[in-house]
Amino acid sequence: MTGNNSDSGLSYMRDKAAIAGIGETEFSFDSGRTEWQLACEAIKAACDDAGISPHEIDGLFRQDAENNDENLIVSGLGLQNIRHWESITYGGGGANATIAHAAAAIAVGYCDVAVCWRAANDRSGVIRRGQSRGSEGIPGGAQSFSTPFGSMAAAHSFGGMFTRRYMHEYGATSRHFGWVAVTLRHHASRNPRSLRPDPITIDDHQNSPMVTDPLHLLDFCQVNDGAVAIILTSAERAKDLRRGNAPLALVEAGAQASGTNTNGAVYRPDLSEVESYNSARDLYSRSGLAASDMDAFLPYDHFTPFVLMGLEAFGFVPRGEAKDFVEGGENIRFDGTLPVNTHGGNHSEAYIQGMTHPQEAARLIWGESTSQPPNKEINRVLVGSSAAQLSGGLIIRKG
Amino acid sequence: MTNEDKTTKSAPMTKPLSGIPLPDLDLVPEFERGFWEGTQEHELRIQECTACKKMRHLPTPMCPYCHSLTHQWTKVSGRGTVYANLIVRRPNHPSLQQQVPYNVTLVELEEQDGDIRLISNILNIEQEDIYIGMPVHVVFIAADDNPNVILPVFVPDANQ
Repeated sequence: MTGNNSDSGLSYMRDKAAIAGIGETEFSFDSGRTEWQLACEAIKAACDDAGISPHEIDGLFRQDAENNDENLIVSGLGLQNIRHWESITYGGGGANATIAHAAAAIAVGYCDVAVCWRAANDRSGVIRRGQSRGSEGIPGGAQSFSTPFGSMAAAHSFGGMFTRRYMHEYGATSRHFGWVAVTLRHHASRNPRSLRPDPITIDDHQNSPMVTDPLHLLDFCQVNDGAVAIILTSAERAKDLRRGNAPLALVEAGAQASGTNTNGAVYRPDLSEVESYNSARDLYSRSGLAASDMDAFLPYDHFTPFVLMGLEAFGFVPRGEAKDFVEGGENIRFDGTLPVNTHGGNHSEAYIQGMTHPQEAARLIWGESTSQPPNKEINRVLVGSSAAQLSGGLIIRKG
Repeated sequence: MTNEDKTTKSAPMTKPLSGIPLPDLDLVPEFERGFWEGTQEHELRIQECTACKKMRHLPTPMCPYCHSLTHQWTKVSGRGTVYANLIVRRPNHPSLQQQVPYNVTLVELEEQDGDIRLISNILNIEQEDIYIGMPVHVVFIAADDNPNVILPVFVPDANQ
């Protein structure tokens, strides 16, 4: 199924909005400044890229890992008239949704110039991701059934448990995950923004310390500081802006999904089946498209195994066969048959809870990726979801 | 089985972890309390809807199947199998520095066709020997840091 299907759901928003500009601060392990400042700098940079003043922003789309609330963005940038705002939950699970919701809001006229952003001092800040503190009593809930048994981080929860069941069901091994790590590092080595630019070998991956068996250190994404922002406008408006003569990066479709029994992350009926199967179903049915229409895949790489699971969930390979597809890394390299995370991803470029992936989708469409595929034209990019919790996906296409 | 070094096995856990947050039984909501009252009597009890009779875990105020607000706590056999298992080798909490490696294990109870799954630890076995499908049964051990909190942990069935 290819081509435009005007009877498909969400036709009111399809191709109506474009990514008009992207911006980011440097990525670092200590930004030396507040998350508020990081947000303002990234948003200003995205506005410069789009060729607009920040004062034109009238829609704010925030994923709730963010500490800056909308007031800080309004006051920090001197915004005059916000006509629409949203905060979307689940942190990285809400990343793609900020883009999709911005496109929908623009399509129905809730706002004209939208910004989606994420600013984080995750490394230098007081509360580090993955670190626990204190021994205070837990007032019930999912944590009271997990923390007392030492399940205190994403790796102990969905990260490790989905991986373990996936390995059990399909025979994937740590070495297969290693090929993802090797490839992401290769892409990062070509990206001056990357925090992990040194290439690694498969042996480096296998010899890296085991953090939470079956996850090696080199299976984990980073923890870092930095901010990213993405400006969206209508497709018509984008043609008049700074990037107007370049191909437009249009938002073709978005979908959010969850599946059942999501509280506590590890109680779903089948932990070898990631949430992405649900996102994929809706993304493809809404757009009338399939995996074969996608020229590049940008999955959420908090842990390398989820790249394999995403390849299967989004239909790029049959279930269980991603391990063979990633073997050696050639297929998923930027010059391979299906370029994956050409920026190096959360794993090797920087982890900004999924907001760098829509950025990279735009770069691929514009021909500006640091690892632009040399052998194929990029007409459509699939941005995959955070996979193990409420999250969503996105299709960006060249207009 | 995925182990870093097949020649060196990690020491078995002999009791639950200490020095980490525990449930505050004064603050736990009413609809969860029956679980911890059960463990205090050395029984594994799972929340069961009185209307449709289905059990559920994690506890919820309302039955997710039939939406009744009435429930009871039903004793289960305590037997199950390992559904998924991890070995934590690098701690992310200061208190755990001396307690790694430890296992975090999902145990699927034998009741209700795999619907009921608990996060727990498997004791008395080298972490590397834990495998998916391994039969286990529950034991009850008071938390070091709060003897009122009795934790359900699991041990391998005999004769494997």
